[in-house]
Amino acid sequence: MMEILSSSALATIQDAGRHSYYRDGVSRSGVMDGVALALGNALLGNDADAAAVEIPMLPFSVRFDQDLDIAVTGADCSARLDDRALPPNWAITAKAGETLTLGAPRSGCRAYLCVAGGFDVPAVLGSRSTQLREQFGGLEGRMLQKGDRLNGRRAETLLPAGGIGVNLVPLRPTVGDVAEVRVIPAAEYGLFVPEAHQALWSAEWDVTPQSNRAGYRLAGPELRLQAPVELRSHGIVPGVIQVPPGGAPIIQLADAATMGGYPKIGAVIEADLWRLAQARPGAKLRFRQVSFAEALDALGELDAFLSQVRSTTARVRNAAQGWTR
Amino acid sequence: MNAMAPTDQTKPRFSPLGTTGMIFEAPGAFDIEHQQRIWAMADAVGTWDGVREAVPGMTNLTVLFATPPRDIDTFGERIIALWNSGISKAVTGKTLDLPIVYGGEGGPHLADVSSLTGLSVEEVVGIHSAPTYTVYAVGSHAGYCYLGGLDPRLFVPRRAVPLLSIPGGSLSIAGAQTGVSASAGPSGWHTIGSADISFFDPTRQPPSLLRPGDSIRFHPEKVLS
Amino acid sequence: MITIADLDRALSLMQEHGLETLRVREGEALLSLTLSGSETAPLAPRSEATVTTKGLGRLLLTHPQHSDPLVQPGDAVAAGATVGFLENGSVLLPVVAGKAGTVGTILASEGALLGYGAPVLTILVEA
Repeated sequence: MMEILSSSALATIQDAGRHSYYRDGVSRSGVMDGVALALGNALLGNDADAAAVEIPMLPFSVRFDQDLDIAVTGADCSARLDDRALPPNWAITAKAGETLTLGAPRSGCRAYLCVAGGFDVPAVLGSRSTQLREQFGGLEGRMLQKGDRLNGRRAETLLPAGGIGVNLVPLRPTVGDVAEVRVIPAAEYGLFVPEAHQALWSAEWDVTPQSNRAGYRLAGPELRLQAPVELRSHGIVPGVIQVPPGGAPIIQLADAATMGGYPKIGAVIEADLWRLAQARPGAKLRFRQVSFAEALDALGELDAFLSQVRSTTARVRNAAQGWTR
Repeated sequence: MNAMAPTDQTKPRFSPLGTTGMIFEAPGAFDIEHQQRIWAMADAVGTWDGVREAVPGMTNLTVLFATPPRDIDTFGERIIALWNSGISKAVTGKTLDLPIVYGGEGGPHLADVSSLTGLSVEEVVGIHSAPTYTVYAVGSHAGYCYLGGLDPRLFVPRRAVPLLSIPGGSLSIAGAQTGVSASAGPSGWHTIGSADISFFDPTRQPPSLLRPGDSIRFHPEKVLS
Repeated sequence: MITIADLDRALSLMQEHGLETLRVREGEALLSLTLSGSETAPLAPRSEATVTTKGLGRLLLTHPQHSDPLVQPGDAVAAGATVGFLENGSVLLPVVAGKAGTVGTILASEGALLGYGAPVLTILVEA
């Protein structure tokens, strides 16, 4: 059991998302940074989609009242377990009575707290993710608050003393304040003026403060259509870049509507959505055009990294168990 | 045809949504015959290998991949071939009778629609509440129904700047479409009224109150200016 | 071979005779001691502990996402503190200080491939 000692607004329980109810209009929800969730769960030996707490604003602190394997991934947020500093993307056994504190991020903006077995909240419509709009899933369908008590689904501790971590550098995380993400042009790309195409690929786009789990509103050059267009409503997915008539693009994300009607100039590829998750308001984005095949390769590269981390961590945990038994 | 009606495509087409999915857009008119073909395609494509869900839109189909196909063009051609096969699914569903308060606090854009269409408020309400609307698709947010059957005299463009939130139960229109929101959230449409109704319950299976093929009739309870 | 007892004897000789520096060469080993003036209190006796690896891998003394090394000579470390990492296929295992003290000498270089029990750095431990 652990108790939340302090939490800014907007911390929620999320897993890999609610995937099979698009036909009911249920948005995907789930973590914004899927890499952080996958790494946390790999370090702990959890199922890949076990539920974590997504913490988009810091500080955040929790106290453990029993020994529990935990992982802190995502934003590099000066995590401390009592007085001990935890490196980024690190898993360790928290001892009963210890307090975990996450501070101001050095880089990134969303931190994830994963626990052994994932957080023990009921699965609703196949997922433990918090559906904020419809207020179900997660913990009572709401954001977490001070005093909330949460349990992991596995009591056994499996980590070696001192813990284990992941070196994220092979995935080329964003360094500095300009994140580059790859984009496949979407259906209405050809309906925009040539200047809009040029601006899309060359401008540095500001992530505005009107950016959240539903989408990021960007500021930059106006993206103009050749002529106004009124589309029939159609499905959209996290990553789709819509351009409302004002000409300022919106990237649809985890809590976005499942259908929409604004023209789509492109879609950020699935393999780069985690980079968006860590781009904070005030950061800048650059878009790089890729083909469908290149986007699949990027997804393959990401999967290979994650499965290699899963197998290496499994070996390390098994070895640690061998030493202690 | 009103200038704000969606342009009819002449050919079926498909386009990727990143590597997460793809959209198929049917050619031709926005009508029930075309939509019945989309419903049939959704049933068929939903069973294909590598497909997580196939979700009807408004005379279009969104396919979500469990495993993205290596060759998106071959996949798209297969969908077009299925459209060309002409399969269709007629659905006779249930009808929901829904009392509506038009205008007032719950319908702040009724006057805007009146001036955009050149119709009086009473005419807008009369024209809007006349048809029996068919649920073409469910989506946007949980339980929300996209309805077919709006009178072309009420076709108006979406608002230039979306509103950050409108309450659940809001009745709105945009383009050739109308619908009642199932929960509070952002909207780019014109909100002309409100209803007291729950369209979605996560503990129910299926969780949505209405399915494609069901119908809604709006009954003006009050018209406020 | 210079022992802790030798160091203690050398230090007390320096204090007794007011020497500020003392150098002793024994074989290949050079011992150099400096006392900073007469106000220096007799130093607490210290011992040196070597932190060694508990696994195999590539040594990282700086976290790959950071620019500063975890510790440098002269830094105070707590018992159990992480002073480096061993990397295996992007997975990091900690190199842990067994005792509290002050970092002495870094004995292995960044990026070195180390086996089990390899020395990484020394820690001067207050007795």
